[in-house]
Amino acid sequence: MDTLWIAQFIMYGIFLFSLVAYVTLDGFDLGVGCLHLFSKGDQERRLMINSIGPVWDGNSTWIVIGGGTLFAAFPKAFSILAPNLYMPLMLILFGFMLRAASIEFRGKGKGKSWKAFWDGSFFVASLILSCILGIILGRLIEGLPLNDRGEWEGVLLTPYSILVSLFGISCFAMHGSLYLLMKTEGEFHDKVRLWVYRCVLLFFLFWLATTWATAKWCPKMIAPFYRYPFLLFFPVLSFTSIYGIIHSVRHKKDGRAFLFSSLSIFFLMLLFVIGTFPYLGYSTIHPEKNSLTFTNSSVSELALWILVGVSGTGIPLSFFYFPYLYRVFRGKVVLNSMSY
Amino acid sequence: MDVEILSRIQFAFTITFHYIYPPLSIGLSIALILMEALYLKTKDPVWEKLTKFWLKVFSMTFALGVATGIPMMFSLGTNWARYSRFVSDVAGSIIGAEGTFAFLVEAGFLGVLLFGWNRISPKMHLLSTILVSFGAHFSAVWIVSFNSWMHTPTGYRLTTLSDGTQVAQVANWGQVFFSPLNMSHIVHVLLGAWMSGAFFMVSVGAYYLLKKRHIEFSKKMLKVSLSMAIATSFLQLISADNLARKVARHNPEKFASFEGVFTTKSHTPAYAFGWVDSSQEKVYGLPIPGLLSFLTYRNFETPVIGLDQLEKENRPWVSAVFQFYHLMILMWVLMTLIAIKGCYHWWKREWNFKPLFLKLMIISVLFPQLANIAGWYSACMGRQPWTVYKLLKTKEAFSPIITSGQVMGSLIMFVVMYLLLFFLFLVLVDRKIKNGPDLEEEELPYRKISQ
Repeated sequence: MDTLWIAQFIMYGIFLFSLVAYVTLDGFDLGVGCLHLFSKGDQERRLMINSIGPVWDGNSTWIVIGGGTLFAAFPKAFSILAPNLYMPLMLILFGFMLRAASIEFRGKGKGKSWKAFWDGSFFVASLILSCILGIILGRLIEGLPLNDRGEWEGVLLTPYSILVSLFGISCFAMHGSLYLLMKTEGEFHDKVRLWVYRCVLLFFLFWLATTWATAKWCPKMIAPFYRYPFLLFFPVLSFTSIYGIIHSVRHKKDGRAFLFSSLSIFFLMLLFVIGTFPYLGYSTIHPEKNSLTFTNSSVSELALWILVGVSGTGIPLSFFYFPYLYRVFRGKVVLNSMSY
Repeated sequence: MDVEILSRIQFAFTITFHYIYPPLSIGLSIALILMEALYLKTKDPVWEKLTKFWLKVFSMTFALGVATGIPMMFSLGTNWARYSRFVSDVAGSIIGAEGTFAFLVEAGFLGVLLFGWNRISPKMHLLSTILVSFGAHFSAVWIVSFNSWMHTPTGYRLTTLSDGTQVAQVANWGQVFFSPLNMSHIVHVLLGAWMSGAFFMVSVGAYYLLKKRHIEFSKKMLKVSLSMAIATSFLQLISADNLARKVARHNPEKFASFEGVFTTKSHTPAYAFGWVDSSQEKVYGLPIPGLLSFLTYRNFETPVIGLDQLEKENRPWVSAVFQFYHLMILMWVLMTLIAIKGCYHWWKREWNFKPLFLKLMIISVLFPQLANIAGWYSACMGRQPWTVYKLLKTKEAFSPIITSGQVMGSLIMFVVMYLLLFFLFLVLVDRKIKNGPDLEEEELPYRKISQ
C-alpha cells in the first residue's frame, strides 16, 4: 500500500463524508419543503419555514464542499460527470436559487398572492432538488453509459433511477416530518404526527421496492456481500435503524425517531458506498477502460496531501461548531419579529 | 452561436450578477461589527436599531450571494471542464480551503447571527457577527487567490497524464498562493467591497436626511459609513498604485491595454478619458504626457512597454479594457470627492446638506458597484485570449461535449432567475428603507428567553 493510494483513499472518504453529511442534513430541510403545501394557513407555513430557518443555509453548504472536493481531488471524474449531467445539474442549481429566494422573500411581503407564490415555489424547488438528487444517485448505482471519449451514450432517465428518486423523496419527506415533530407543539404537532405515519409507511414501501429492484437489476451492488460476508453487518444495521424509526414513532419518542432516521440515511448511503466502491462513475459500456475510480481520477500526490491537510483540518473543525449551532436552536420554534 | 461563446456569455452574466451581493455583504459585515460593538459599549438604543436594520438587509445580500454563487462552482465542471481538469491540481486546495474554512463557517454562523438574538449572550452574538464577517472575507481571499494565479501562474509544472491530457500540477504551494499579484489583488478587492458597503449606507442615510426622517438614526449611520468611505477611498489609491505597477511588470499586454499604449515611446501618457480606434492603433482623448511613465516607473521618461513589442495575435480587446479601466477610475474619483465633502461637513457639524449633494450621495450606491464590475472586467478581459495566462487559452478551456442548445437553455434560465432575484432584491430593499427602522420590533434583542 503506497502513500499515493492512502492520500487518494482519504480524499475519497472526505468526498463521501460530505455527500453523506449533505443528504442527512439538507435531507430534512428538503423534506420540510416537500411537505410545505400540506400545511394550511400562514401561521403553520411560517412555522415550517422557520423550523429550518437558522440551519438550512449551513446544511446546503455541504453539497458545495462535496462538489469542491470532487473538483479538487478527482478532476477527471468532475470534468466528465458534470458536462454529461448538464441538464440535471442546471435543474439542481435552479432549485437552489428558487429555494433560497422563497425562504428569504416569503416573509418580506404582506399580500396573500405574494405568500402563495413563494409557498408554491418553495415546495416545487424542494421537490425538484430531491427528485434530481435521487435520479443522479440512481444512475450512479446502475452505472453510466460512458464511451471511450467520456461521452454519455444513452438516456438519462431509467425505471430504476425514477424508483430511486421516488424513494429519495419519500425518505426526505419522512426525515423532514420527523424533524418537524421535534420542532412543533400543540395542534400543529398533532397534525405533523399524522404526516409522520404516512411518510414512514411510504418510505418503508419504497425501501422494500428499491431493495428488491437493486437486488434484481444491479447485481454489482450485491456482489461485495458474497465476497466479504462480514459486510452483511451493515444491511443488518440499516434494517435495525429503519425498525428503530417505526418503534420510536409508535412510542412517541420524537427525538429518538429523528436520530434513527438520520442513522437510516447514513447506513443507506454506506450501502451505496459499499456497492459502488471504488467507482465514482461506473461505465456500463466498457467497465475496465472507461470507469472513473478514485484511483484513476485523482490529482497528483502532492496536491492530494495538501488537500488532506486543508479539508482534514477544516471539516473536523465543523464538528465543533455545527453541534453548537444546533444546540443554540434546540427546542420548539418560536416566531418573533426577526423570523422569516 | 457556439458552445464557447455561449459559455462565456453565461459565465460573464452570472458572475456579474453574483458580484453585486458578496461585496455588499463583506462591506456591511464590517459596519455591523462596528455598530454592534458600539451598542454593547454605549448601550445607546440607536446603535441597536441600526444593527438590526442593517442585519435585515445583510440577510438578503448574503442569501442572494450564496444562491447566485453556488452555480459559479458548478459551472467550472459543466461549462469549463477542460479548464477544471487543467487547473484543479494547482487550485483545488484553494477551493477546498474556501469551502471548509470560509463558506462552512459563514453559512453556519449566519443562522445564529440572524435568529440568535434571544438565545445567546450579547458577546456571543457579537462573536457570531465577527465569525460571519471573517468567513465572508476569507471566501474572497481564497477565490481571489485562485483568480490571481490565473493571471500570473507560479509554483506549477506542466505534466502530460497517461490519457494524454496536459495539466498544471502543483510544485510549490507557497508560490501558488503567493503568486505575484495575489496580495495586491486581495487588498484591492476587499477595499472595493468595503466601499460597496460604505456607500450603500451613505446612500440610505442621505435618503433619510433628504426626507427629514429618522434624523438621529441617519446621522449615526452616516458617521459610520463616511468614516469607512474616506478611509477606504484613500487606502484604495495606495492599493491601486501598488497593484497597477505589478500588473505592468507581470501582465504587460493588459497594462498597455488599460491606457491604449500601442507604440512604445518615452513620456508615455495616461488618458483622463478617450476613445480607442484599434484598427488605426490610435487613442483620441485627453492625454496627460508622461503620467503613465511616472506612475509606473516614478520618472516621466521611461517608456511603458506598448502593444507593438508584444505578440499581436494574443492581444486583448483593447478598447473595451480601456473603457472599463477608465470607468473604474472615474467612479473612484466621484466616491472620493463625496467622501471628502461629507466628512468636511461632519467635521464642521453641519448636517443640513444641500438637496443636490444629498441626491448625489443617494445615487453614490451605484459607484462602487460600477467600479467593482468595471475593475474585474478590465482585469479579466485584459487577460484574454488566455484563461490561464500563457498556459491555457479560453478557446481550449470550455467543455466540448455539451451542446449549444443546452447552454442556451441554461443561459435563459440564469438570465430569468438572476434578473428576477435582482429585481426582488431592489423592491424589498427599497421597501425596507422606506419603512425605516421603527417597525414591528416589539421586543428588545439580547433578552434571553428561558428554554
